[in-house]
Amino acid sequence: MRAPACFEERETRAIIDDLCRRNNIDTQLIIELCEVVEKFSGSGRKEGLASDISTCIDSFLTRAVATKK
Amino acid sequence: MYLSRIHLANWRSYSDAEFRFNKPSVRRPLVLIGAMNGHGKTSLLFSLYVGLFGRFGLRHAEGFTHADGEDAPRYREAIRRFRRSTALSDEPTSVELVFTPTSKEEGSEIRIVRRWFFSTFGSPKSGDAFETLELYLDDKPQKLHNGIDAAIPRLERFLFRADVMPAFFFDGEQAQTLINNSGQDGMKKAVEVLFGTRVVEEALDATKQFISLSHSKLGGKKNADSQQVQLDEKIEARDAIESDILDLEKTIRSLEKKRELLETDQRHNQETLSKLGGERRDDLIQVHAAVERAETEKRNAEKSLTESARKLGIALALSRLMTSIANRLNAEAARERWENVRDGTIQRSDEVLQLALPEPHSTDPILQNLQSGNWLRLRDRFKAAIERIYIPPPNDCATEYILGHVKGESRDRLIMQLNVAQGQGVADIRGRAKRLMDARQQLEDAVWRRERIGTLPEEVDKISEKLSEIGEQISETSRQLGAAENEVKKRRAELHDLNAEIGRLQELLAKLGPEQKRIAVAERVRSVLSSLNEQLRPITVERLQDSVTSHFVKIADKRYRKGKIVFQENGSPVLRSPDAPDALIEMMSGFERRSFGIAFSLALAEITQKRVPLVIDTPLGNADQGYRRRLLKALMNVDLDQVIILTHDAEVTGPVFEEIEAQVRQYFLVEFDEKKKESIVYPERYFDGIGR
Repeated sequence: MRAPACFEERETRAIIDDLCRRNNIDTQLIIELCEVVEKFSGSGRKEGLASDISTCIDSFLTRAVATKK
Repeated sequence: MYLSRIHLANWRSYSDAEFRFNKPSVRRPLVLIGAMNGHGKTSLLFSLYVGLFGRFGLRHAEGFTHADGEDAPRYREAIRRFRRSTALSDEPTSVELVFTPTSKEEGSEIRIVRRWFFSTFGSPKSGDAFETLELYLDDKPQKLHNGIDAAIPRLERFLFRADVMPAFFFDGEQAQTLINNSGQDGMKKAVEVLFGTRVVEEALDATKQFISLSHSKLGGKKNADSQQVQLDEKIEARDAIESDILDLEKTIRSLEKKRELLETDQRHNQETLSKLGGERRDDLIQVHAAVERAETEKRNAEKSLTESARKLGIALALSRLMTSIANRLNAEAARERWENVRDGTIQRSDEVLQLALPEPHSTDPILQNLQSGNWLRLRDRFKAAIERIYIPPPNDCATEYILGHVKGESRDRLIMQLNVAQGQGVADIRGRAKRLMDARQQLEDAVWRRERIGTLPEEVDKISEKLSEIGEQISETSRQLGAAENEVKKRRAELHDLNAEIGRLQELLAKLGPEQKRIAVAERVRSVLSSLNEQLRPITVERLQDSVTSHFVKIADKRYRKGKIVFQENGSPVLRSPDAPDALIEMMSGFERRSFGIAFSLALAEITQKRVPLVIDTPLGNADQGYRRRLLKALMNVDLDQVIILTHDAEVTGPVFEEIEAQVRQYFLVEFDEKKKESIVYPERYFDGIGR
C-alpha cells in the first residue's frame, strides 16, 4: 500500500522526521501504524487492530535494540 | 491508476455499450470521447458516480446533491430515471468499472459491477433486492460481509473518497457542486484524506485505544502499583487538558469567524458611509476644532508674512538694487584693477625709457647727435605714449569711484553678503507665503467639511452608530480571542510538561515487562501523532490554496492573475486580489467557475499525488480561443496518468484538436442511432471524419 502523500512530501516529511526524532521513535513506525490503521478503517472492523499495532511496536523495539548494538 | 473499462447495460441511452481504454503513456495521457449533445456524455459521467459509490455517489452528483439524509428514495428514483426505458423487466440495469494500475504503480486491478433490478412494471425492486454489488481485486471476488455499503470504504481507500468525485469526475457545465463542496467542511476534508492528514488523526485515535486496552490488559487500576496509579491519573489529566484544548480551539475558530463577519460588516458600512461622503456627525466636534485651528493658523501666517516683509524691507530694497550695486562694485573693482596695472606700468616707465632713450644720450650711437632740447621732448613723447596705452580704460571699468570707500577684499565680502541676503530674504518670504496659502486651503477644506456635516443625511447617523457598535464588538471579540489563544498556549505548555512526566513514568514502568514497553512506545507515538495532526492541517490548507491558485491564474482571465484563491473557514472559496474586495467564486462568471473547478481538480491530483484518472465533461464549452488555449495548456502540463475528455463537436475540434492531437492516446465517438434508439460507441473514431 502506498504511504499517504504527507509522508512523501518533502516539507511535511521533515516535520514528521523531526517530531519522531524528538520523541525517540523512527518515522518507519509511524508509517507502519498509518498503514495498519488505513487497512482497518476501510473494512470497518476492529478485530486484530491492537495486535497489528503491537506487531508494529515490537518491530520498532527490535530495530531500536539492533541500532543500539 | 487508470480507467481501463466501462460497461453500461440498460443505462439511459446505452443498451449494451463498452469503452475499453488502452494503457495511457506519459506522452499520450489523453482520451477523447466525442458525442453530440444528448447522445450520452453526461450519462457516461453519471455512471461513474453511482457505479463507484452507489447512493453515496449520488449525493455528490450534479443535480442530485442533498443533505437531508433521504438517500434511499432519491437514489431509487434517480436510478429509475437513468434506466433505459425500453429495457426488459428481467434485465437489470448495470454499470461495470475497471481501474488498472499503471506500470509505475503497485496494487491490484479493481473491478466493480453494480446492478439494479426492477419489477415488471418498471419500478425499483424493494429492499435489498434492488441493488447488488460485486467487487473484485485482481479478478478475485471480495466478500462484503456487512452488505454492499461495506465496499465503500475499501473503494475510497483504493481510489478517493466519494465526496472528492466532483473534482476527479468533473462536469465543466456545472461547476457549482464542486465550488459548494470545496468549503472547509467538504472538499478540504477530502483533501486531508488524500494528503494523509486524516489517517494521522485515525492513527492517533487507534493509538489512544491501544494504550487504554494495554492498560486494562495489565489489570487496570485494581492491580496497579503506585507508579501505575500515578501514571493513570496523569493520563486522565492529560485527556482532560486535550479535551479543553479542543474546546478552546473550537471557541477560537468561532471567534475568528465572528470577527471576520464583523469586519466584513464593518467594511460594508464603511463603504456605504464613504459613498455618502465619508463623514459622521460624531466628527462634528473635531471638524469645528479643525476650522478654529485653520483660522488661527491663517491669521498667524498672515501676521508672520507681514512682519517678515517689514523686517526685511531694507533687505528687500537692497535686494532690488542688488544687481546695479553689484554691477557698480564689479565695475569699480575692474577700474581698480586697471588703475593698478596702469600705475604699475607708469611707475616702470622710467626703466622702459632708459632702455629706449638711454641717458646721457651723448654716449648712445643713435641718439648722440640729438640736441638736448629735442631729446627731452622725445623722452616726454615716449612717456606720454606709454601712458596712452591705458587710455581709454576698458569698457567694464567704472569711470569714477562712487563707492570708493569700499575697496579690495571689503568689496568682495560686500558682494557675497548681498548675494546671501537676497537669497535668504526671497526664500523666507516665499516660505511664509506658502504657509499662508496652505493655511487658507486648510481653512477652506475645514469650512467645507463643517458645512457638509451640517447637512448629512439621516442615514449617516444610523451607519455611524452601527459602526461604533461593530467597532466595540470587534474589540471585545479580539479581546476574547486573545484570551482564548493565551489559554490554549498555557494548556499546551501544561500538556507538554505532562507528556514529559508521563514519558518518564512510562520509561520506569517499561522496565517491568514487554507490555509496559509497548505502552511507553505507544505514548511516544501518541505524542508524535498529536503534534503532527496539529501541524499538518494548516499546511494542507495552505498548499491547496497555493496549488489551486497556481492553476486558476493560468486558466482564468488575465485580470485575475494577481489574485489568490482562499478557502475561508466554513465559507465559500473567494478570490482575493490586491486593492479589491474578495470575490466569491460562486458569483463569478461561468468561465471563471469552470476555471476554478478544473484548477481544483488539477490541484487535488497534484497535492495528493493520487494517480487516478481525471474525467472532464465539456471542459471548454463555448469559451473563447484564449480560454481554450490556456485551459488545454494547463491540462497538458499536469502530470496525470489519464485524462478523459467528454466533448461535443464544437469544442475539441479543428485548431483546438490539432493543438493536443500529439497527446491523444485514444478516440471514441458516441452516436445515437435513431433506428435502434440507442447510443452506439465507435472506438477509434472521432469528429471531422477521423477514423472513418
